[in-house]
Amino acid sequence: MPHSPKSRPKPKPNNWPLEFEAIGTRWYIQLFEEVDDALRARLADAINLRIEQFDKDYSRFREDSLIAEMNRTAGEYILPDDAQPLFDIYRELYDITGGRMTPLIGQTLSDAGYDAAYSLKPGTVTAPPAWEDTLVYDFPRLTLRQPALIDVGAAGKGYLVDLVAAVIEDAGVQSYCVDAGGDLTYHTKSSQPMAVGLEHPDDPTLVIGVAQVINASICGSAGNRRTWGKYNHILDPKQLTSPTHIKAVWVVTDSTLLADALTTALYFVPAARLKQRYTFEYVIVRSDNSFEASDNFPGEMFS
Amino acid sequence: MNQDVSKNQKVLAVAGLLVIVAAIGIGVVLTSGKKEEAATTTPTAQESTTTEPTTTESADSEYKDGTYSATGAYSNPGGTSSIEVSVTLKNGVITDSTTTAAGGGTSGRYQSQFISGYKSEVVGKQIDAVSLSRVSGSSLTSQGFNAALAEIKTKAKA
Repeated sequence: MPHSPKSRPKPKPNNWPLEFEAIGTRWYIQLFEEVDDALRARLADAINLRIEQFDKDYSRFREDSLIAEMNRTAGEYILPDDAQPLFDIYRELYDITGGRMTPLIGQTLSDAGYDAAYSLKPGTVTAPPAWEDTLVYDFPRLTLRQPALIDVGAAGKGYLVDLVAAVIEDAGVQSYCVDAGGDLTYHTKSSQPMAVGLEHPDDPTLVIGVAQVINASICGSAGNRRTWGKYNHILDPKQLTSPTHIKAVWVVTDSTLLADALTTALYFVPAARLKQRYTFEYVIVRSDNSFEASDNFPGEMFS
Repeated sequence: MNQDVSKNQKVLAVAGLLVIVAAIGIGVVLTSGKKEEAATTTPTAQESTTTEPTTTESADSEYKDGTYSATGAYSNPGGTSSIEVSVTLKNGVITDSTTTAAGGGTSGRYQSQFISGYKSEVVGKQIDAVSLSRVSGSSLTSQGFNAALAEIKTKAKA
């Protein structure tokens, strides 16, 4: 079977708000306008299909994915039609972070324990290969000079949120929220923002601030949930350790793809460097609980 | 008026420098536990410059309302560093203050530690006490992952 037992997908829902597990997290999708039952049913199906297609292309947790094939066999591949924004942002951030944010982190993560079976048993961890040595990227072609385990998790979830939002918009619905485990986009025809609590990285019963999000996306990243032994799912490929100087990061910007990608990049380079290239607002909580918020971060921090 | 302003400048310059020297002392103490030792002598303040405040009249206070800045330069084993402190006064009360690091290298690191300590720490509020639609943090995990976590914790206890 293509899925390892622990990562097998759950049944697909069609009651609204949609609540289900997919790509390793819990989704919550709401519509904020009148939509008849027939359209809701069609939307639920379309969203499920979109997510399944994405998972089959990009998951490193199933043997029948494109990613798994790239890890078995070198050669030239034609990427799916939707791959360009995702691989483009990885190419840019690989350069900006000096290789610390890399799609080639898959094997290192897996060796640290975050493998397809979720063994969470740390093994011998080695640095990922350099992009230049392994990949030739010229969309739609991606050439693997050698087999490699690609992991696009640092931006993939945010991107899928955007793709699901596009399915909803294509159906003519303009007021909705797509939330994948806390990475979300909220669009509305009204002027009412959505209050999004910023979860305390040490205590999920608390929030340390509230972001006001409207026609924008917010993503959060922290090491507190996916953590085992000395590792969490954020790995610095130069140090081969999980960063400890930052406890949590949030980014608010136009797309969930960019918000997600930047929450990872902010572990590796200062915000000022990323602000040269991208427009976004952010909050960083450091290991000592001090925080740094961008000047126009939409919302308030509790301090 | 010129005399008042210059007196204010001097008082604030001294206050600012005392803050800076105290902060550097604190910075040295806070980092003394770390393996990479640096300054063990208290740096000496050399000079400061202050800016003309942007002022409005305030009859009740000895100090005119406005924003005052002081830049202190100090020597340390790495050379000369500077740090700028600004305070905003209204009716004799400091209503805002900022600190800007201008050092690099080791000095910059201590300055950043001082500034990050000088700035606020997050405080948590109960989720139920805040009006929220959604919550964002590290991504929620799936049942499969939760099961894996539970398993390794069980194994760790065995």
